[in-house]
Amino acid sequence: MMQVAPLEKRWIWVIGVMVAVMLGSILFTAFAYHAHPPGNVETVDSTRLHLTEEFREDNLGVTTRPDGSVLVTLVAHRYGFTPKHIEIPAGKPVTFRVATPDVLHGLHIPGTNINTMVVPGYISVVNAVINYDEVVKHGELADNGSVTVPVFCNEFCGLNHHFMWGEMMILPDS
Amino acid sequence: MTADECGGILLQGLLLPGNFSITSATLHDKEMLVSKLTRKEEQKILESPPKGTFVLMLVFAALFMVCWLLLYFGRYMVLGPIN
Repeated sequence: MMQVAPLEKRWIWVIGVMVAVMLGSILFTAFAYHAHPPGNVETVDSTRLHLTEEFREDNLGVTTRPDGSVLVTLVAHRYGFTPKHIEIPAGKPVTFRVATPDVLHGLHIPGTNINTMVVPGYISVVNAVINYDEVVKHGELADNGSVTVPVFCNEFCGLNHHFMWGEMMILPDS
Repeated sequence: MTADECGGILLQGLLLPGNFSITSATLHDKEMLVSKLTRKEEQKILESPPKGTFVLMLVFAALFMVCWLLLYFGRYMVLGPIN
């Protein structure tokens, strides 16, 4: 039978408690706040993206649903986001649906946990709730209380990747 | 009393230049120079669990957990949950 020193036995218990606390925290936030990695798999024909109903240029942008949640439909392309400027309210559930007609892009919004790859052929979906108190630390605060934060592409997509950006205006809760 | 009678190990042949030389010494004599503990006390210490090591490990574990919880709840979750 394997011999385990008393100190190692104690350390195994300590490690067990640490793992239990970390897993417990992750499970708690997963069930209580639905915090987990986006796992949506939805395909789209990238070559005909502009012809689809959802990603047609007229239908892009911000839509408020009847339940008060917000839907943002974006197209990430070389080298920009369409629409370039979006306005969404803080503290409300927001769903981002993003697709690309060309190459691999990223969507990263500072001050939030929104950070996803936009892969050709797939629709990237991220559900989030924007915390106004946090984005205000990362963006420009206007007199009316709105905060503007940049929207970045964080996957190298070509020679002008560094010019690819947009902006998101967060409106205060009240 | 010979070295064997003392229960020690004979160290010899350590010759120094000039007129100085150490011909023999016992491990028991050397231990007596650095430690005032009896053999029984030393044996008790050697056989007891390493409390200091465990305390150090507990301190590391506590620091690790505090930092992890701060990052998870204080830096990650505070930005708003995503799924």
